[in-house]
Amino acid sequence: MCRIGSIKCLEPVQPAMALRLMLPQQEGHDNSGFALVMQDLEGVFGHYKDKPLLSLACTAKGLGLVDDYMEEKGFVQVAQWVPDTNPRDGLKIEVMQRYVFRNYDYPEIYRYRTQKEREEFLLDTRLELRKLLEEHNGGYVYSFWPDVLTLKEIGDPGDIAEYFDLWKEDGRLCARNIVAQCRQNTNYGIVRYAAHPFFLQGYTLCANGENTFFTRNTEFQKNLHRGYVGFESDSQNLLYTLHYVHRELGWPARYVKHVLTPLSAAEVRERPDGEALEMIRESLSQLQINGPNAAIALLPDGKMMAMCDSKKLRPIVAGQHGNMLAMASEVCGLNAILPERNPANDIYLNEREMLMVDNDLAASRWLQ
Amino acid sequence: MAAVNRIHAQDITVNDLPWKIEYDSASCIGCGACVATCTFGAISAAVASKGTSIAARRQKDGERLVIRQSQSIPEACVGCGMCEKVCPADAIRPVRNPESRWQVIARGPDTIKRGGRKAAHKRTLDSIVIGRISQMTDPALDSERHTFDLRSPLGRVLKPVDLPLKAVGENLLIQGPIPSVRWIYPLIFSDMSIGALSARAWEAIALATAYLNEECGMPVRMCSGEGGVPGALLQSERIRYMILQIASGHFGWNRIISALPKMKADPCAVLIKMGQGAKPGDGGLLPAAKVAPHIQAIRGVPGVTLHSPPNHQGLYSIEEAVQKMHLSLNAAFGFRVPVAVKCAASATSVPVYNNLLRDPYKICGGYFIDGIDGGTGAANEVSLNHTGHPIVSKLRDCYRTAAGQGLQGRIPLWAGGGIGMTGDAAADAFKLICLGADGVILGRLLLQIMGCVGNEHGRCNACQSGRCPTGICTQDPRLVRRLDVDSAAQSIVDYMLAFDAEMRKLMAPVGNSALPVGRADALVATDRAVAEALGIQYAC
Amino acid sequence: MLRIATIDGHKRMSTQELLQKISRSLEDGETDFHISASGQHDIGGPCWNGTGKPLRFVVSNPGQRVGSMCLPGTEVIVEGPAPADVGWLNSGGQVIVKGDAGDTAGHCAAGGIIYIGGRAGTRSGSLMKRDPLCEPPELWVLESVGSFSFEFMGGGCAVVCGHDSQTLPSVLGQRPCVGMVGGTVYFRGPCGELPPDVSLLPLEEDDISWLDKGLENFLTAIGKTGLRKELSIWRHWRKLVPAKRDRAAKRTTMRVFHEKSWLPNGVFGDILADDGRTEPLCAAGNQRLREPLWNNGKMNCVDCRQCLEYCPRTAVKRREVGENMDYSVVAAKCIGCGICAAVCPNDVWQMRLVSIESVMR
Repeated sequence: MCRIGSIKCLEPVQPAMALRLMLPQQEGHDNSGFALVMQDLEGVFGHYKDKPLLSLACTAKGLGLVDDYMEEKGFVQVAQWVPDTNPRDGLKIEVMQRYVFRNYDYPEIYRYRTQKEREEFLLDTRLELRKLLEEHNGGYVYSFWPDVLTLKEIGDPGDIAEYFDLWKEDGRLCARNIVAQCRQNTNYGIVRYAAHPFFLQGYTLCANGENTFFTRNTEFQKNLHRGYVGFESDSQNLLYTLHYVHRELGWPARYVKHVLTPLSAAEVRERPDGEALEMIRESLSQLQINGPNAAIALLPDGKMMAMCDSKKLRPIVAGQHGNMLAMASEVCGLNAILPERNPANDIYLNEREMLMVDNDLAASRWLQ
Repeated sequence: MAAVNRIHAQDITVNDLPWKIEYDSASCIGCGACVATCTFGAISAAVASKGTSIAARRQKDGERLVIRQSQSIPEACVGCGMCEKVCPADAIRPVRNPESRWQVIARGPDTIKRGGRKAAHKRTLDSIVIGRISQMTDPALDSERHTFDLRSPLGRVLKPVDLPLKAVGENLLIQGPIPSVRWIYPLIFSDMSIGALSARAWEAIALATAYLNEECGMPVRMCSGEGGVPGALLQSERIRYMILQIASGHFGWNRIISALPKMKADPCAVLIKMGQGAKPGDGGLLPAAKVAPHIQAIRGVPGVTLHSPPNHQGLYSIEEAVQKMHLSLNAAFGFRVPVAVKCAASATSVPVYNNLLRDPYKICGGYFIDGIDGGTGAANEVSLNHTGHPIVSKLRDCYRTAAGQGLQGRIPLWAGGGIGMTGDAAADAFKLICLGADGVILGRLLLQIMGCVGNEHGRCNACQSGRCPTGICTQDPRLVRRLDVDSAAQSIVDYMLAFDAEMRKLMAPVGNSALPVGRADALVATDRAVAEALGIQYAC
Repeated sequence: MLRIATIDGHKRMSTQELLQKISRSLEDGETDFHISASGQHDIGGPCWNGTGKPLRFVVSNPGQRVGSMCLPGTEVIVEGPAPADVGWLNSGGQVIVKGDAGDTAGHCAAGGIIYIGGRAGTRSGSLMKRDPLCEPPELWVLESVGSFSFEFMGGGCAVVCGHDSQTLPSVLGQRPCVGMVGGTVYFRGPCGELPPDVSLLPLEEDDISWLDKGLENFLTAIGKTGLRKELSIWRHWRKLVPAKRDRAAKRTTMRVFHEKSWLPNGVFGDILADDGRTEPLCAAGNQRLREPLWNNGKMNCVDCRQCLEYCPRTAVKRREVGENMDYSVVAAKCIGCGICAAVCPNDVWQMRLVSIESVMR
């Protein structure tokens, strides 16, 4: 079991806020890593919101390969941020040689293409880079998307924060949306890609769960979309299903709940929209999840959502105060960053609910 | 003594037959029950030294009434054991004869025929165990406390991109029809025809089906088998529980078609039978003697010998098999009723499945694969023993082929042939489901549940003879009276309730509340070759 | 009184460090703890004072299992909400959470009292049980509980007051009390579909007096005495207790189903006459497979009467017709065993198969 958390704020917040959110939940995870995805960036990336941002952790050689590839494709680097690092003996962190966050301008030929075409191109580029780095054992590319930054590392979250100086709130690295987790993957192989949150074409998802339909989901997803790769974690299935339902099929986001944890045949029969739900359940049965799961997701438009498995075997709670809303596995995380809120208004999500938070922080609780 | 002198070395005697009657004349009380009950004429009453005077007979010790086994091939004992069952003195029973020369002597000029099943052998399913148990990584479920959804599709399932759904605001609205899909219990009572079964046995299965649906909330479906459906059932609401089978002889189908205007409900599905696992490529034959009046009435034929050829005469290629046959039967019920096909498992199963999956008209609603261990009412032994294809790897191959194209689940896979051979149908079903089956079809076990005494070790298996000693596979009204419809139906219901509980007992430890179709990661094989062939973990 | 802060800059005290610190202070005789927690687990139990003095823990922002394994004499007060497993395996302590409790509050509690001043989560009260040697455990919740509450409850009392929750479809969540075999759940407000394990009953006088007394203490503990009147309208309350039921509740028998619900004349009624009668394996009369024929004339009966003597069913009849003997069988008695033929010295009795065709006709 791990712990997940997210923050959505009208004013940009810094990773230290996410660290504080996760800190009291430490007993629930194993402190084996730290990962976050930030979206709607300000600070050093504030001026380049429309320029795709590449998040990399790689070797020096890997960086060279990336440079060559990007140049060959015609990408033009417009900005770069390399975090200050504080190496110190005794820090529990497995560092890579290079951590690079770069904004690029699209290649000439893509400047006048449609948004959709550009998005497909960004995905193809990331997949190519991933392949390239994998082939040469050169490192990891986590995301390549405008206004989205991903940082993941193996080690103790506190030490990782210290190494990257994330406690320092100097305003350089901040965003209106952060999704975070403090765990690598101690059940299976330790792979950087296996750490939540996962990202694909503007969709971010972080889960606290064990999807026992991993094999079933994976076998189906492998042929569903070229971007559904990796499968280092069973929770990637949830991200890919969200992406498929919302982006590929173009269905309203709430239908992802009907796909992941469909109502039983008997329940469906009694509903006015039963026929459509039955179709969905039938056609997408391979994407149903089983086992304990709670997930937080971030959509390309910045909306944040959360949901649980059908037996609510893992918890998720959301709280809000002023211009900030946060979600966490445990309420003690919310208490740490939203001590002034009225906890009576906290939302404990139930097994048949989905929580959707708009960009103005209006939270709607939707019953499946 | 004269008789002894007439016996030649080549004569068939009891010791050449597969079963010998073990008889204890000292205990025998001479009640005659064993002889009266034996449907095969395999035993008869006799006296020792017949022909000597009565007085002499009385004086001599040991000369008395005895039970003798027939030495003729047509009257050979099949080992059903009814004699043992009725004997009040424990004086008689059949024993397997290891010296049997049956395979040599029973041929000629005709082939050896028998009903029932294959000989026992090591099953693939028995080297697979459910080895991925939820322990700490995720909670196992509670088979009694949690809710489980045991439903499987029968019908053509569209790809998500092909669904006629349109997002209107926050809702998805339906813009057009989709092929109908039935969500039914993952076990179908498979096709055993009214000719093969006695009317009572067939009715017992139909009655059990209705009971399971109406009293137990289990949407179990029954396949009619070849040869039509009784008119009373066709015109009742209960036709919903039935899958109507059409085989090469098309028997009864003109009656079904004539009944269409009078039908109150649609059947669950139509199943086109191309072949069966027990005797693939071998046709069927119902001898005139077995074409009882009610069978004539249902099949719409006179009382003559009825052939079901091994193939459908009008289908010359797979394209025709798909288009012509599926299209006609879809049309018969106005495209409201799923049409599926049943084939014997074969080295060609995967190409067939590919062809069905790629059919642009999406008119095939299920692929039933029947493995070599399937049962049958009558077959040439040479077919029964030497033709067919094991189900497990073939089912798995079909599933993986579909998965490789992202088409798994589009045409539901139903696997059969030997399900429940060891008595544990739930374990067999669960393993096949994990390997990719949407559900299983089960026939022979139903007979055993109703009282059939046949087994894989050569006991009875005389379904072809019309002499079924339990009244299940016979049209002889006297033998049929040996079966009570209600208790047979009750036995089926009881078994199914236990099956349902056992399915939950298997789903719970792997942490699944929905059927784990294709969840091969839940299985491990204790045989390396099996593990490799099925793509599952090897464990030892 | 000992005050403990658990955050120092970016460093957080681990659960282990905190519990060991508390343990040392207990040994030093400390009985009153004020802990500013940051998610540490298991605060409050099992703790005791060597001289038997009561212990008090006032906790803010605890982690899971606050007040778990609490012993009698321990009071744990949580200012605000607490995450999962509040009062887990409570063994006699008093645990007060002024805000919401997370999932599985009161899970496996076997003694003591747990007061929740807000909502409690999924599976709350599951497996609460009564130890015959102790007072039964109590779990009081001011508002509502999540789904699957009180599963397998084996004893004790749970009270769900439904304050500010009356618009919920169920103050007990979905599928409450599955597998409940003991104890009582009192609740106020709507409840969803109930499993067959429980009976829904109105309160009786004993229930009311128990609730009335307990409510006072509960509301005082969570600081909500103002709700006393609202919550004391007893007709708004109901209770759930394990149903007295025959687990092997009989379904309709097959015979009744066949008679009442099946097709009136069966599936084959219109084309096949069948009275449904069954026959034993040895049937007589027209149900015989074989029948004996007395062929006197062809063979010569010597009137030895062996057949009469040996027939197991006394079906053979001998009749004198003038000078001649006439043997026959009473079909209704004969099972066709062929013993008459076997013993006949002159093969006058012969067995004949009764063909299926003749039977069908």
